[in-house]
Amino acid sequence: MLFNSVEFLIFFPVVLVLFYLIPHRFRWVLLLVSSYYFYMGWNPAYASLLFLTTTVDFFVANRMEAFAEKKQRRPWLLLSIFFNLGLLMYFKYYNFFVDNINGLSGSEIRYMEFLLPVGISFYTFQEMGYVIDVYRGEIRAERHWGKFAVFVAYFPQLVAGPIERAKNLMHQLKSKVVFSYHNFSLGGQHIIWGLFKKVVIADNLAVIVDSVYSDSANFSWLWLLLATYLFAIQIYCDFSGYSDIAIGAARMMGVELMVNFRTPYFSKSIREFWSRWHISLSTWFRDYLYIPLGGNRLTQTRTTINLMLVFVISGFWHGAAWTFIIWGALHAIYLLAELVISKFSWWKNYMKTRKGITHWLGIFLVFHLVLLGWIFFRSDSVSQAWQVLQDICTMKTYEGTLPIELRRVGDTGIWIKVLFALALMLIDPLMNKIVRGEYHRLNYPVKLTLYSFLIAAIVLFGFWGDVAFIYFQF
Amino acid sequence: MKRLVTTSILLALIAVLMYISMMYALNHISFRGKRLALSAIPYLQRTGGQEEKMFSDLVSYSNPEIVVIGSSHAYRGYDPRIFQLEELDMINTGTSSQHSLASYILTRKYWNYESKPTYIIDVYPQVFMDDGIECSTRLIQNVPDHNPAWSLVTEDPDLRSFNAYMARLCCDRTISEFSVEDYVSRGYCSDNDTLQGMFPAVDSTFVGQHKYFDYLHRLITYLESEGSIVVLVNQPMPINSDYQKFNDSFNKDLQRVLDHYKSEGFSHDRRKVVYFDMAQDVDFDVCCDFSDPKHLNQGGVEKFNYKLIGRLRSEGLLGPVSVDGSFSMLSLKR
Repeated sequence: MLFNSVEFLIFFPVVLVLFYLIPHRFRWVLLLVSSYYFYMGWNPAYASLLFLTTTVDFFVANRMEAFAEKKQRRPWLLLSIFFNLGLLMYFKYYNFFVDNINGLSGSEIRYMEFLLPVGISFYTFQEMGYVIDVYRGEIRAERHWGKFAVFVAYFPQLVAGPIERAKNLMHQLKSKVVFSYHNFSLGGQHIIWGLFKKVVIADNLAVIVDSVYSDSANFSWLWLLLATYLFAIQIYCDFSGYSDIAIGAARMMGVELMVNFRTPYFSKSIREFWSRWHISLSTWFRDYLYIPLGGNRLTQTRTTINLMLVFVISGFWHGAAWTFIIWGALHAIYLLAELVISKFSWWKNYMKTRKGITHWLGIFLVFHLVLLGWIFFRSDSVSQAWQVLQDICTMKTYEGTLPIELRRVGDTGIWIKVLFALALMLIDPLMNKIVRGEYHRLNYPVKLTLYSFLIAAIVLFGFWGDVAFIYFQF
Repeated sequence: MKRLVTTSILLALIAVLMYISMMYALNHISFRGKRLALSAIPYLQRTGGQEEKMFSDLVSYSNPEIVVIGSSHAYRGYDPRIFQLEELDMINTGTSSQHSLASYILTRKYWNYESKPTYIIDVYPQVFMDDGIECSTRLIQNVPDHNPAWSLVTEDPDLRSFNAYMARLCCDRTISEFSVEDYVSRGYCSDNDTLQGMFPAVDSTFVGQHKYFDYLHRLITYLESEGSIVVLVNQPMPINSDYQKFNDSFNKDLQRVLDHYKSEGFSHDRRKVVYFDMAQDVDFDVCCDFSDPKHLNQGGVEKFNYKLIGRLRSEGLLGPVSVDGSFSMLSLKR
């Protein structure tokens, strides 16, 4: 079920009303049933996979707690990790490996014909985080299967995050929630803002981006550059829009999910970018992979290897393709370069600046480094990414006619979409503060007018149709 | 709770006011000779074009012998001049991507005649797959009356068609925003281009929308109950093995609709429902009979129309016939 669908528009209010009507002790049942229903709206068969991983990790965590020593717990941890990653590998990466083996050896191993279970990367990581926390003794294993299953399948964040930590989510799911206007107001604001970013900005930009990238050889460098800029905004609005709707929906049920984006395109360094982009994933990798590997506490060589490993895996997590791996490696290279220059005093001074030309120049530069990565992320193949890069760098001209999709949008339509996108990027920092309730200068009538405008714009300018969120494929 | 209800009501009211104001403004402000709404609101369609010409041509038409219903396959595939040469009075009510839901609404409102004409429903598989928004929004902008336009919104609720209806109410529909140069007469448009051996790009499996088969069933039942002969035609296409599989897959779904007319046991005063699957007709050449991978050109139309008229006559599907009420499927396969 998509957040931007009529089904969700009916489903969510029904769940919400029932949630506040039924006694607290039965709410986990409602959340579990509604979460599985939400998931089964996409493919009922794969709910069994969710059920299986939940049961295995529930059992493993409880077994681990029977042992006091980490050494005794380790086999159970390894069992859980092999099981979770095994399923992920099979469903998400099997065809990628077959493709590469066939390509290298000339063999003809058959591909598997199945759909990627939506959200598998997200809930696998959430469960693995939980099991590792229990292994480390940081949290107690949940004794109630149903409540643990709600933690895994909680519908607002099930299919595209934020990837929650048991420490943050589990106790909130168990707490008694009473109706609060404040929660409804903040939740509603998040949902409206998230929907606006998704259907008005991201989906409208997708028309241009998809048209150009689906036939990139037949576009001039200016079109390729424009499409790449717009993709940067599209993916941000698409993914942060989803996160905002998830945060808003959970908030209405009294749960505070972690913030997943903090205006990442206003970062002055790549390190800062990763502390503002998909925060739940980058902190997951930091806590469960980078630091256990030794982080930057060991030798320079080990730090280099660790960073490279984490970002290549992060790229691979996003998709089973070399383009994602290169995207991850590129960010690792950026970070390594930053590690080197961060020892200079001018870098420290630069990072302290909060205004002036240096500040904005830094943001501009970081944005363009990220943009370079997006070319690989968006391209269907490495060769396409190279071709796009080459065409932009050599300022390739192309005189052919535009595809029908773009001709339909028309010149004025394209400019309107570009203006919308630019306007969004400018107001985004302020809007983020407003939806989070951190900006107090707006009075009630102004706020009411602002959100009414957003609702009207969602209905009027929204690109309604069966458009899934980009991160569903991960 | 009271505060929440008050805020929600206020929010909804102001949003409605803003929506109407923006819709009105966008439909009254022009940029480069085009109302801004067309550039800003996704899926919105211009007034004018083939739909407008067809309606102004045909709405007042009375008692034709043959009515053609369908998508661009209809309005580019059945030439009234050829039918006229064969002394058959035909009108072509096809519109772009017209799905069976729209056909059902339009036929009931505009194309039901006392003369009980023979109805040719052109069934183009792709139309049963699409989400139908292009058809709905174009018609909502161009049908002469508000009622059928509103029915298109309510029968298949969608924000995009709702926006199109609101734009219809706000814009000046007397202005034709685009013209169609290849319009001939009685709803028909001709195309003289020639395709150079290109085939339609399709998956081998047809995945249709249930609602459109349902409305096709309702349309046939309605026409049949009015006493008309209904002929379903799948017109010639540039065929390769992919399209062959796709078409066979479509036929399986269509068969389920046609089976109703087999099993419901019509009484013998009722007439026939016939399906001509001509998509795989070998007489049509991919290099000279098509204007693009989906449509026949004028040469192909002439060949197809004469062939179809011949079949209609030989099957006794023009004029009064005595039939046993059974369904027959006549396929011209390779």
